[in-house]
Amino acid sequence: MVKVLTVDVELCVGCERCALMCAFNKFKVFNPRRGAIHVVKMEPGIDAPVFCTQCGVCINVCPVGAIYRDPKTRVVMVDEDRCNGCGACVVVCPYGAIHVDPVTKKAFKCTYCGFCVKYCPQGALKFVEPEEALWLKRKSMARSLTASPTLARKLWWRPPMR
Amino acid sequence: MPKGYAGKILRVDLTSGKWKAEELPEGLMRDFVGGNGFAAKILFDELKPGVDPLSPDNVLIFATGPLTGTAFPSSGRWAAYAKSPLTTAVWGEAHSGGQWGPELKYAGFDAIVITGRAEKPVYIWIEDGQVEIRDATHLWGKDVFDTDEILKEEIGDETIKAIYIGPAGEKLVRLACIMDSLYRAAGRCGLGAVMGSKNLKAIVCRGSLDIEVEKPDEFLAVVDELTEKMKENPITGEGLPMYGTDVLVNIINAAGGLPTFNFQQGWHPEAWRISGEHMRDTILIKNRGCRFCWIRCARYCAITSGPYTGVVGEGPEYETVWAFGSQCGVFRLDAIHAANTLCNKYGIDTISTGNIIGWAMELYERGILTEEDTDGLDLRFGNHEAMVELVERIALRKGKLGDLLAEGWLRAAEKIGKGSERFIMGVKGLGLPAYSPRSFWGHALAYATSVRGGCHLRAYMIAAEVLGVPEKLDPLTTERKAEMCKFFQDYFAFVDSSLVCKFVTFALTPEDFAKAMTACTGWDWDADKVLLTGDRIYNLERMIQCREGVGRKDDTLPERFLKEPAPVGPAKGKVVPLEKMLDEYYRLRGWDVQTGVPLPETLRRLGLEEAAKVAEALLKKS
Repeated sequence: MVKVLTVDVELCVGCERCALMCAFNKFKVFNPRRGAIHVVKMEPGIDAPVFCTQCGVCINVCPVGAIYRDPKTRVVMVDEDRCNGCGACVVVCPYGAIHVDPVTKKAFKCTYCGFCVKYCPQGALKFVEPEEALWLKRKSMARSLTASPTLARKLWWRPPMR
Repeated sequence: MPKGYAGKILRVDLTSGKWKAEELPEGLMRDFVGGNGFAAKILFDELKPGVDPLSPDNVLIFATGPLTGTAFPSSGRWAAYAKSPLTTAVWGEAHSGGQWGPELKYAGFDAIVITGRAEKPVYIWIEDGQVEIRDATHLWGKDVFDTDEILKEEIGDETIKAIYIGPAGEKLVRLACIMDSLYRAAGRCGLGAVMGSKNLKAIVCRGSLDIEVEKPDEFLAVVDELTEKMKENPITGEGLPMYGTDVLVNIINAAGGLPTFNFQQGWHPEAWRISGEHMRDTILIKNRGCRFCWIRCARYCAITSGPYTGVVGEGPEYETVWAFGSQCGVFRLDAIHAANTLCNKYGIDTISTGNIIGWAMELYERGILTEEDTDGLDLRFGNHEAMVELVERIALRKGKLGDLLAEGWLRAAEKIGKGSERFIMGVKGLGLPAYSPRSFWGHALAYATSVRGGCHLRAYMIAAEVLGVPEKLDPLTTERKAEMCKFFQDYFAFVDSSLVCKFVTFALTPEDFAKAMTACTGWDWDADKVLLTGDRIYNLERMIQCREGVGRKDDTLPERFLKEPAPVGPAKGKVVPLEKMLDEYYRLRGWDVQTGVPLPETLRRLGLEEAAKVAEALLKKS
């Protein structure tokens, strides 16, 4: 069954373990800047991971046809043999979720592998079936449309036990 | 070279404005690991005994360790070291979480050694092995929050990681700390003033270099195993994530060890008002985690009503809650959070500041300080407005009292006179933190012998005496206290050298560290070697202070704990039988019982030949 990566942003504490482990999973080194998931920390008190939503805007702009949608999982993939690191995808990505790796010079993005989920201490990142992700996706969207930093300080909520 | 390290030490001489990158010698990594170990070796070799801590001759070190910035749980740490301008302990050390430690490694350096003094204010910019010393005239005088904003804007990157001093450090307030981003602090020993004396406002890093480990797959397996252990552990898996460090208020109060009214008593019926549970019910918005932390104990709090409305930010931690809470007789979280936030803003240590204000309050109530001395502040215990005001006055050296207390306990007591020194709750000139010695005798021993002065983190005996880690000891006996104190000091010296958060030790043992270090460096580590290495590092730190005259005469406690019986709580009627524990401790450590100086044969056994020669000379003199 296909699974999707989703986040309950209210739970994120900004520890950046996801980014650290993502880069480690791919490159076997520790360097959170090379991860495909990025944690944004802002004041007052905002922490949120940003990663690819698989919207696929990048597919059409790739001049060498290196980016494609996997027919089975519907996830947007990078064919590293074809990718020439031109960065056209970086230009169009609305989320800042794809970048050209400084070492391999290949585009790198989240492919919903789910590796980071185990390393999220808060359980904010979830790897679930698409139906289960609906509410969290809607909530994220609602928040990004309405929540400004000044609002954030009024969002009273409590973290879960684990 | 083993992996796990960035492999380089950055040396900056601010007088000449020159820098160079040095290869890390392999012997240094093998014998001294990182962090505390590096600093002890470098300070022993390069710090000249007798230098003025606020002169260009003081050596200021920033260090990380081999586990910093890796997947090891809670690895986002760094530490600063120098001769302390506040204490008589010589060895000055302060640790911080936050963001900066790993970034320094990603930017290419394991440690920075800073000497000299810049002619005008500067900051150091480090990016991927390249270093610039930049003008900071426009930042001088700015508080920590503003500095953070201005720097990020002018560099044009909000993802830079930086450490700063605030106005307190610039004004050489001896309680000043070094801030990591906005809310985390390398607090103790007044190292912010050392940075200020060098005209160094900030160190800013941006790093994109890889940190590798020797056996990645094995390392990952170890990390998974250790993370599981931390999840299962009630302290790291539940207490700290749920309530933060402030979970301790109710626990320590119930044990009769929550110092109240400048340590006059160890229990108070209103302590629940400042407890972690109450914080969670009232001002907490969310918890936060330092970089790569599994525990995430940081509290993001907001005050939305009353006189402190609008105070928003991380904190306060348990020690801070105590310092501005029961220590000053203030049992309200809003005032505590306000005082804490002011400390962050001006860059001043919360433990020291709260402790010294509590001291001033006791002096005021005893009539040693009058309203004239306090510039009109009514410094009675419980006056939260006066407390918050005094934080600002100390940090900015405003007024007679602010300027006086900014000098620290010992120097202030010299000026005040009238027996005020009897009420100093400190060891070696460093104010004690939030555990009353009369209720925890092992912790009392840890305070007395701590290498940086009155400090709970060289040996956290509360773990054994209250929390039952690694085993439960009765807090009101002397049995096995020396042995446990030595174990913790050695173990923590290692943890502070591999440089990860000490909170992991609630769940992890020296064996666990050995496993992680083996996979990380490729060298064979075992529990014995971990403790032996810690022993070596701790002894060298001790020698740095011994060669400047520190010894058994300084390893003591305020008279209050040795002579005045505790008035209330489980320890009622007790005083600390310190001398007996001290004798046992020195013998166990292999130190001279009369003077407290490490014996030359002890140092030789640990491979510290140079230190052994110094110890020989010291012992001959005495």
